[in-house]
Amino acid sequence: MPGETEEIQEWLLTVEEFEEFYAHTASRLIGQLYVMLGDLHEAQDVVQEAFVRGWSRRRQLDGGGEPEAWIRTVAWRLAVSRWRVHRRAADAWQRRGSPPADPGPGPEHVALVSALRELPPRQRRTVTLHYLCDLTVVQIAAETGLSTGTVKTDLARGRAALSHLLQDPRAEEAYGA
Amino acid sequence: MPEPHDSLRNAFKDAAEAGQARARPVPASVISERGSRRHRRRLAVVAATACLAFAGTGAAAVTALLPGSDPDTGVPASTPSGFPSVLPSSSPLPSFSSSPTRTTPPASSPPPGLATGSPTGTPPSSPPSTAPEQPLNSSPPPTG
Repeated sequence: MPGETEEIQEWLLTVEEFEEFYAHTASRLIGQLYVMLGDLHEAQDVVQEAFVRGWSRRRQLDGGGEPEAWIRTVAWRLAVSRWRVHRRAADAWQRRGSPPADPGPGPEHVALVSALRELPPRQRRTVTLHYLCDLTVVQIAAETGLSTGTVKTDLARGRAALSHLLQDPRAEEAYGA
Repeated sequence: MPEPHDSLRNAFKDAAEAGQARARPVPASVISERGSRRHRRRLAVVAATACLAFAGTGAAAVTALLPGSDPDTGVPASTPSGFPSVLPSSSPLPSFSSSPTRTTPPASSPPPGLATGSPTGTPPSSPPSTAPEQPLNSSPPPTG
């Protein structure tokens, strides 16, 4: 109903409700970004920065119920930008002959997150949006800007890679089905 | 009957919950403060940019509208040598040539000393025109 939509939109505009929205969704978004990125601190940083950017644009956030998707998309883009910066820094370190120390996977990382690190970023994002955020192929295409065919391809390749990395017979069965 | 992807889905949700449990999000007031500060900074940058653009446009307009600022209509300060003067010959302005054409007042206005008609001043210091002159074609005296 248009009236209800406008009321929800107005309801989402206030500062107090934005803070409530943050309190309800920040932890969940950090968990999602943690699976996508494989780094909890990085996930916290980018989600926090995405909320900061969303605060000044809270009047432009989609009042139809997708501000969480906006925050998630901004956080992902921030993470991608940081990867590029880190990659340039790593290249610079290699040119200097002293590569940075690689901490390696810690004991706190679960097997799935470690396996997801082996996937390309786009596949990792697509698989996470599908299995963790319960988005359909069309919704993933709308959020990522990819075509539905590309999303299906990424899901199939991601499942295959995960079944190989996790050595889970159930996953292999699922991929075969 | 469970879907074939349920195990993978559960693994994803377990991993997310593991990260969510260890997440320490900052208080909402911190986000609001940072967002407000960022918003004010953006407004200041926009205002400064607008002021600079306005000032630049105004300065350009004033420069363009000033009289004589157009280089096409300007007259050079000095006439280049070897070129004719741009002033017409019938110009009322005096011409500043190197050879003065008239150093005495015009004839219609007598000099101040002759206005009364009586000689009051001293005669001119120049020798009188009646002084004997040497003949130009006289031969020199014979020397021997």
